Amino acid sequence: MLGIGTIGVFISVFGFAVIIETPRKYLFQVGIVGAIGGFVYLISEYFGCENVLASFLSAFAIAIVSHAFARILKAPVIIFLIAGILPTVPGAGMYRIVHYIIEGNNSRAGFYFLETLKIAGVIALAIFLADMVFGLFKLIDKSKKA
Amino acid sequence: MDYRLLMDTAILAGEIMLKSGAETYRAEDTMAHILKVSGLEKVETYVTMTGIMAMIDDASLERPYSVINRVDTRGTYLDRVMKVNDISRRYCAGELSLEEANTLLKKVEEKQYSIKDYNIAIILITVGFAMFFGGGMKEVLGAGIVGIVEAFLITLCKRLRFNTIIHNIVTSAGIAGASYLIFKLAFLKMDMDIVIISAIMPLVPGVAITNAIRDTLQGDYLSGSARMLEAFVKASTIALGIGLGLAVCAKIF
Repeated sequence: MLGIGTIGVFISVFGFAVIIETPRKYLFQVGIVGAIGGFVYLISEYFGCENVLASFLSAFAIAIVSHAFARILKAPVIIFLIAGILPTVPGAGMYRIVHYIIEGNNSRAGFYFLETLKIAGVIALAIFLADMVFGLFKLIDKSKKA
Repeated sequence: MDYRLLMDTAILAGEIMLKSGAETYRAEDTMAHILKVSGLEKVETYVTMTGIMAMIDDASLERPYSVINRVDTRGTYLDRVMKVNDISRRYCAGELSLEEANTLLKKVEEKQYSIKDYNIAIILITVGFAMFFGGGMKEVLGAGIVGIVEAFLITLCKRLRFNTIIHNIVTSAGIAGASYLIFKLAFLKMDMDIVIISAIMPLVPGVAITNAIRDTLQGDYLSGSARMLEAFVKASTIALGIGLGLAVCAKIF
């Protein structure tokens, strides 16, 4: 189950990377970033985390790995971050909100609205934290050189 | 120095960035870096989701020089963002002359992948997500077939130059119709929700949400909220299309 899910994320992030025109030489690495995020998501769900916490952990892992890859491969962070984080981003949640509004099911629409908001919030937090961690690394690098 | 060419280059760089789905603060930064190479006293750049403004002023100039540029189309082309980033960095480091930077920027908008690559990618996304959402053989196979229909519809809508709203409605109605038919005719026990959610993933506004978050964190609330609205409009058109497709199919079959 875990293995199939992780392979699925790799395949779909690879596809996303093509659609948003990631440079050809980074396609595989972007897929790896996505697969790591998907694996973290699935494993935290497996250990009983609810999906907001699972989204946070997976987004944090993706952001950290994206920063690491960006430093190793000397490419901008967004190349890895945008495609890699797509499975975590609540695009389907947004669809569900509108779907239930149209259907007239207000309580479910409200539930998915809150959930989408929470997930978007924790993704923001995760990206912010990862930026901060790597900002610290840069500061340490600079002070060593100086 | 040729200020007109300098301004043209900066605006061109900002425009490509904005059209290619870069965050607005990145477009502002890039333009400001290019303009500051000139050593002018005052350099201002202001970018929103739909337009670019830039201004330069110096004691040596007769009057301030400013340009406004409206941007209508937006997509996501990460390779272009990367190329513009690279050109502006090389120009700022003095490796490129202004003329060279300008000609290089004009060549940035070349397609990297063919329509065939693009269509295969759409099928990969739908199949991959069906696996991620815990679908079995039936769901994965169903998502693959729906992905083929979807890839065909997306290519068709692009050929006919539909705008984004019509494009999303037509494509998602097609997705709903195809999933319903597969459900009714072939796999009765298939979980249709998984297939539909997987199939809408290529259309869903994930990039818009990510950029909305990044712009908002950067303190650019105007672009952040505009992108959030963009995401909601896209989600609404998808939901509308799915609803339409399901309702029509349920009536006919």
